[in-house]
Amino acid sequence: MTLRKLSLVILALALPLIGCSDQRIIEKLGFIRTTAYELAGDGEENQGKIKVTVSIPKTTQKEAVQYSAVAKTAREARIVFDRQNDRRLVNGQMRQALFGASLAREGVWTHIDSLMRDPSVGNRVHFLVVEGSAEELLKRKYPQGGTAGEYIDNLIRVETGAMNMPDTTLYSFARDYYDDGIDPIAAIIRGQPESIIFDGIALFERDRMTGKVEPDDLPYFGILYGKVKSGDLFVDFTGDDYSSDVASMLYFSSRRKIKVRSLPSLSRGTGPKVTVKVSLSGSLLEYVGTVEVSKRAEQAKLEKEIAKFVKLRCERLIRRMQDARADAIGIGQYVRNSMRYSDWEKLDWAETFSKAEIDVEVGVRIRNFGKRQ
Amino acid sequence: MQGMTKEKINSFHLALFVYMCELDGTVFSLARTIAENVGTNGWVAILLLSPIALINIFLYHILFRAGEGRSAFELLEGTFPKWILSPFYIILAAYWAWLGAIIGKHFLLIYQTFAFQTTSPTMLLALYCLIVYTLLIKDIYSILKAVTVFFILTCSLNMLIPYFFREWKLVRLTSSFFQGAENGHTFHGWFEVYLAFVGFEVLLFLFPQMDKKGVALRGAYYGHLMITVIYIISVIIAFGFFSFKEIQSLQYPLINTLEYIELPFLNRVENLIFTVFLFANLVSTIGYCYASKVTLQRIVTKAPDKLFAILIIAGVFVFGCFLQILRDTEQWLDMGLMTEALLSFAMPLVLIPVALHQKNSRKKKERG
Repeated sequence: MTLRKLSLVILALALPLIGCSDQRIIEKLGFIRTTAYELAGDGEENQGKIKVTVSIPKTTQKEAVQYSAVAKTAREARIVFDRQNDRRLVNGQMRQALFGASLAREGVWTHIDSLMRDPSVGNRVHFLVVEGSAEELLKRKYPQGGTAGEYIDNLIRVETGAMNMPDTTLYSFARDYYDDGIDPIAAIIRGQPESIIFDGIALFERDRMTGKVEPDDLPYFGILYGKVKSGDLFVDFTGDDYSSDVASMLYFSSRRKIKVRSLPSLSRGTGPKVTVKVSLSGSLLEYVGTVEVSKRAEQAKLEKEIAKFVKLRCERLIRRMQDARADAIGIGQYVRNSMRYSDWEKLDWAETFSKAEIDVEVGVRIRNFGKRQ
Repeated sequence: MQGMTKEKINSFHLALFVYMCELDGTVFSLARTIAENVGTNGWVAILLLSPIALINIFLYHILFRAGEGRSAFELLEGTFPKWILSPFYIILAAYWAWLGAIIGKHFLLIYQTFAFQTTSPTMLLALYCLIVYTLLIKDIYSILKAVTVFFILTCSLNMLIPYFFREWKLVRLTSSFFQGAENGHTFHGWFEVYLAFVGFEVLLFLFPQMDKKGVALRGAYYGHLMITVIYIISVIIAFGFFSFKEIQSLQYPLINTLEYIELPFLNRVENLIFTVFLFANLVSTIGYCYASKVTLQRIVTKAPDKLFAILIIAGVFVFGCFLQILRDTEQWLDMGLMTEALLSFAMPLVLIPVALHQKNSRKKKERG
């Protein structure tokens, strides 16, 4: 019995001691919400350096403290920030890592690697590319309220949610970076005088940004990328090929299937032939054109017209990805899975992808035509 | 002491005990170990390796039958004189305490990469030892009851599995099997994967507390099958949630998957969840410490129970203090578990002939 009592005493003494050596008092910490990485600019002294900016919201959540420094890595810059800040800086609540577009074009992996190595940084940190100055973007005040960091967070969540676009996070970036059959992507944001705008998707070859999906193309990218659960599609028919002018399909859902029709051949140097099969269905809530949407036969005609339009846009988007050598929709994963492992390993997928013959088959079904016939 | 209660271990408790003993620090890196040593779709390797452990458990079953439920010590002492056995007992007891220490320290060092970075690891080890001590001074039935509670805590983590479905993709599993292993397929590599199963052999020391027919041993099979299923699920999740080459680059893929969990009111919950694994490691340490204790008790029979417990815990603490960096514990854990895996086969293989021999000579005596 005495031993048990003794052990209880030891336990009681030891437990608070643990807290003593490792305490984190919330009032004494500065929680970094956003870290931005940009090119340091020209000049001899900036060789191999980056500009790091951190934004630390104040306890009111209305304002943020911001620091910038030129350093070799974000960690080195942190030392400079720590010397200025009255609270100890921690990464535990980081939500965004912003990368300047010009830095992204040079490659981001070293920075991602150190972010992912840090146990205090979660893998759900948003990974975003900024067009224009990230430092300026964070500094500005926005009528939307709150700090820029909070604004970006909400914007990305709402936008990607509506489009059913993937949340681009450190997790998704690292996953696709290591996967040899798909290339990573990142959402692009741009600062405007009164707002921040979601401005498309950055395409990467390995860790270098090589292209961009324009905002108009986002629904098509969503369709090609995977399952869309509820998207909006505005179809602006142009040219004489169509008998319609404008149609809007809302709440559309889509599925995609990738079929590898023929494999790439190393000896002949030919790329693979791939068909992306897409099926769409949604409510048609806006229509301008000559098709009489109240008639059954005409409805089928309209479906065909939309399908044709979507097919062309999707194929154009794929050409653009091929030019950027960025297989952002993961066609390589399907080609890999229909090849022998050793053959796949010999293949330079970025090169093969750029030469691949990829066509898109689209099936559209209009679920309903709203309240009118 | 223990013989005083009439209670017998039932198969349910044994199943949970085997499950918890097999579950230790190796599970954090299991997906990587498999990706490195087996390659693509490496989860199949678990299906291939699990029967080996099943055979091993079967050997213990045979031993139980052949020895008619007598403990390993009774069998050995029936054939060999005690002065030959004593050195072996001491070596084994020390070895098991050492293994328990490595398992504990390894977990603590991993834990410290994520939380309590600046706390002295010795202090954490002292607390860990204290918990092990409080259980070790109890009889085996109380330990098993505590294990049941620990099991419920650990097993409830499996409810998180559906959380990963959204990001999980079959296509990432690839269509090839066993390709892309870093150093090709080696015996050593596959053995390393097998180490995830080590731990069940502690059941040898529970023989005296089982029913005479050994019905409880059925639980060992169930426990092992249960952990096999859990291992397969966790590896399949990792292989479809991360990309194959990424897994090879992640130190502890399981922790990275937990990191992904985000609740509306709370994120970075892995620090909380991770603590639950403490219990899994705790049970493994307790298992080996218990083995160590009963072995020591064969040499000095008259000393009080608690003295052995204190002695062993002191050993665990001292062994644990020697290991200060993760690279070391990893290496020692590998080596320790490999030895244990071999020992796990060797023990029944040595004891079965001994048991059969004693059985035959007894029968002869009865007849003649």
